[in-house]
Amino acid sequence: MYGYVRPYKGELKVREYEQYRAMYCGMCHALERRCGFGARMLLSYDMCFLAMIFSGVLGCPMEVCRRRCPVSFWRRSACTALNKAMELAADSTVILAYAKACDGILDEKGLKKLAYRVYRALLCRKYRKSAMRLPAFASACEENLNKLAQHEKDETPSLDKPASCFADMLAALSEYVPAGQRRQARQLFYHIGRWVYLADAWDDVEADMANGNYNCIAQRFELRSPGEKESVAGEIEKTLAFSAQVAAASAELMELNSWAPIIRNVLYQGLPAMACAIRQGQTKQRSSKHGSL
Amino acid sequence: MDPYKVLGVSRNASDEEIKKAYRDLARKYHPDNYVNNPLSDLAQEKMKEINEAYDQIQRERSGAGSSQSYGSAHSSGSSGGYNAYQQDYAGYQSSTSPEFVTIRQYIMNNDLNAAEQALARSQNRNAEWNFLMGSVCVRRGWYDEARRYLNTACRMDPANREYRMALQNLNMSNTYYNAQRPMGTQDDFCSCCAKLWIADTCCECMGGDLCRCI
Repeated sequence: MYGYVRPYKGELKVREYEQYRAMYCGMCHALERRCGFGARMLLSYDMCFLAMIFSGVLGCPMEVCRRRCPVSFWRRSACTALNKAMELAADSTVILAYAKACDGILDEKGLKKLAYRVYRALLCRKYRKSAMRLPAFASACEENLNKLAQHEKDETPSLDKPASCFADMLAALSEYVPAGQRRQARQLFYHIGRWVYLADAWDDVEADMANGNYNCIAQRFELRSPGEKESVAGEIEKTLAFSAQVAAASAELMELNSWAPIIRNVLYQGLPAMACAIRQGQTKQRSSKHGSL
Repeated sequence: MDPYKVLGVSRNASDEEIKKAYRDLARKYHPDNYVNNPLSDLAQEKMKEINEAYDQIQRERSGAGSSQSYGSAHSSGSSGGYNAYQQDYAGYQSSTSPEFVTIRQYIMNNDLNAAEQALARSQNRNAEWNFLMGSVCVRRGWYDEARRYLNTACRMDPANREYRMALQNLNMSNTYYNAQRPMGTQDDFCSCCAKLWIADTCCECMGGDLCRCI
């Protein structure tokens, strides 16, 4: 995905920060174990968030081990050992990355389109394996991707119609949550998905308008020049805050065990801080975006 | 069920601590925070559980002065947005066309696809049509669309209380959520003084004076 869903570091306790780091590093190793070395490249903050949610609801005990980091191999960093939740998160990462590649091929033109084609070809084998493991999620992704492509073709002047396609993809992940918490998880995933889609659209308004690509915000507010981005900031912030609030309220009704404080931090502080960063254009300045690709 | 566990406090916590834990939880699961959330029934259950736990602890420690939970008023009078809608439906049905009555029935039963199809077929695009479209969107979590429809409904029929209430509920923000948000970068006292000093120096360069003491 895109790397927008991350904790607000200033409000984390040191212990929680270390726990989060261990999960982040653990996911990197989990991706390799589950889907091959190349899959490490798909590591993102969003996936780490998914892994935390799954760990929480499935009640996976947290075991920390030390592993060598492939980026700075002299360091042995603390990692959470592979468990069922992380396997789930790793497979869904691959499926979502594949969906993003398919979407990119439809959206982009020229060299970028070619890049996405190569990317998808590289992912193809990993995707087939993961889709075998999570068939319901893979088919939900495919179905919603088609709907999304239709909206992009029709240039639908709406925020919610395209956003709900993406949100439904994530909501399909609630299948893998125990029945007692499935309703809450569905609501949480849906609104995280909606938030991510709209935040990404807002972040890309200027670039999309310059390249003539579909952007739901530009269509909905009938923006004509990229400079008008600021004029709709209030509206977008309200709609993002709505999703963040519903997501947070849903998470409060779930049993998230030791992950609750970090997840709360992401939902209550991380999302508003990220919305603020997008508004100020900070996400584009530095290479602070740890998304896939 | 252990009431201390429900409130997340230890058995030997002081009355003050218990009260604080109870208040925090009651604020978190308050029906107002679940107005636009289809999970409001779960939140209500949770609220009931918390109230019962608090009352039980108060009874056990009967020495404490106030044995009435301060939230018991909430639990009895809790009318989340969804219930409010439903009550409104019941009171309003007399003045609607039969077509819209069935659509309201669909919405009440949470059959949103059927409601949407029926609305798409309808030729009567009046204020109520917009209101019903808005209600469908609220339930789906389509905030932006819902606001568009409800705004239109209110514009077409400004006197209608039901439409105004729905729009108000939608715009109501979650106070608990907002209280947890990080503070923006605020000037501390030092930089405030430094700025004053700089402003004063600038003024003095131009021959004026901002603060006579520096």
